[in-house]
Amino acid sequence: MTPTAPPSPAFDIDALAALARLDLTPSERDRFRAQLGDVLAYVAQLADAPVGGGSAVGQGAGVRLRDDVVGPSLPRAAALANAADTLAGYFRVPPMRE
Amino acid sequence: MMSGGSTASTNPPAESHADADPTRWSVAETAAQLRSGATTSLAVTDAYLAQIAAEDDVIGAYLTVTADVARAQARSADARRAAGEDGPLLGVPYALKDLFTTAGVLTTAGSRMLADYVPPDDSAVYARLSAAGAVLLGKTNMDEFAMGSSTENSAFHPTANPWDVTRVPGGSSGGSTAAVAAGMAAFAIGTDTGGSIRQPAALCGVVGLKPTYGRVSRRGMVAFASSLDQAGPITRTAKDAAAVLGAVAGLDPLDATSGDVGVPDYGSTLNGDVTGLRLGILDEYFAAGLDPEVRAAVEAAIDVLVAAGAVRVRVQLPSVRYAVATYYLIATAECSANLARYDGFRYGASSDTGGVWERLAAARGAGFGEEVKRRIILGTNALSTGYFDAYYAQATRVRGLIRTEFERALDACDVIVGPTVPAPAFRRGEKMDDPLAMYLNDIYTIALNLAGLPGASVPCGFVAGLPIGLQIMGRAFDEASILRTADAYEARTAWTTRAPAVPADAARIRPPRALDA
Repeated sequence: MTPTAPPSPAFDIDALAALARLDLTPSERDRFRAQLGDVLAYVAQLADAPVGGGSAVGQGAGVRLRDDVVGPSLPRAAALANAADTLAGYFRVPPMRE
Repeated sequence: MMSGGSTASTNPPAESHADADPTRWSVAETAAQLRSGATTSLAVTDAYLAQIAAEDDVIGAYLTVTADVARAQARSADARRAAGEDGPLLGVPYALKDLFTTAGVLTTAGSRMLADYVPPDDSAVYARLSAAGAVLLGKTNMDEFAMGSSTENSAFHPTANPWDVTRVPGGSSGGSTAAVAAGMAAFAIGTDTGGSIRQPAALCGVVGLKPTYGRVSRRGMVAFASSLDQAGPITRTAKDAAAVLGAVAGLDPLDATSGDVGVPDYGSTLNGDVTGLRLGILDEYFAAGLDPEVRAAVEAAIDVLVAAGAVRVRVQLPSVRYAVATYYLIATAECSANLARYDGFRYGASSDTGGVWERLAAARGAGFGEEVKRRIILGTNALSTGYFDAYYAQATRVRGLIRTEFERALDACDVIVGPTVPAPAFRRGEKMDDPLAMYLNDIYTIALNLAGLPGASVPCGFVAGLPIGLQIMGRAFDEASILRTADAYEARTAWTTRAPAVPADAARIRPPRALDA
């Protein structure tokens, strides 16, 4: 696949924060918009790298999986010990759909 | 402390190296003293706890001091020795970066998100060190989720450089390197995703080794960028790094990326002999941007190895100039995926207003610090529709190129040597408003993580009274050649015998949060 030129450093910070489910303060929004523009302008140089037909290296390279057998797992009480709220052995959260 | 820009290559005047003070002993010296019966692990542990009580208000190396755990482990180590057991770490006190889980002991990763998190089980590294009889003094300060190069991104307090308390110790394992430099631990464990062991080791004047990706299990390590993160030792000598690596390295069936490669007896390969060893000299690591005094010190260090019989070989890594850009796409993409697990419901900071999605975003907004949010946004952008191929996919292709070039370079030489850092420690606050300048501090360390290869930083001199490091990089799973080179260099110089004098009247950073002291 031929890499396309990176998109313009301008980006929609509100859309990204929503995608990441991350509340930002107004001052963080303003600062990030400027700083991340600088960082994206810097990383744009990657479009020029002579990657040719070289192979990509990503997460998961060389991963070796165990046999799929049942083994001991974390006791339920330990798994729930740090939860904000629990009910009858489950994590309790507000309704996902209202 | 020596003043001025000394770059002498051999035998600087040794500072106070009082053999009577256990907190200045190397791991090997500590084990020898314990073996001889001259002292006990409990006595050495109490000496370290006293040093922490005396100095850490000024240095801020620890987030949690585990005095009760330490004394219990020390008593157990003494009992094991009394029963005839021996081992290089048996009874030796150490510090653990606060992103290794420790059952029943607070593990914060330097984040408000995990400020009250007590994990249910032990990380592989902690389990192995406990089995080896090492004594946990406490959990060390770090940049939040290991994102940073100065330890200023800790949610709790910064850490001072023991050589000049107005300066940063480097990061993200700055608490671990400061603790070892200031005599507050015989050794420490850090993690290195883009230089987070080697860079702070250089800036604090200690030895730091980032092993091959897969050499040490990542189980129970709070994840930042899973294809890059790797745990490793921080010590005062290369011999000590060999001993600690030997204890924590090896296959872990519960970490799918841990390598099924035998662990050699690293200590036995340290014979001081570098005759015929081919030292790769990278043109790219001696280019513009390198402080001239750092350059002179690193070249003098290479001269020491050449005088001992090693030979120089010129090697090139043309694509290393893309390393920082590649890293800040891959690491942030992985960070945005890894940190998606912090939902405020199962563990970590939570919010109790609004519906499920409002609570989730609010908990994350309040729990994460500014640099973590910046990287999540950057990574989310790199992975989003329309941007993925131009950013993330292209970065993985450049990463492949960098790895291929490293492999080719390491066919022509045995180890690659160069600077660890472009300049000595900067002042606290100096780079906090300029993320790109902060990121560029890792220019010499980042490429190695992308290639998955091992590398160490060893003290190689002082610039304006501040320590700097020689970086030694090697082939996959050949930490032995790196350690042998480091040990041979150390044997011909005396940098590791110098210790910083921490001023007692310096401003407090913040007392450590005592768990059970």
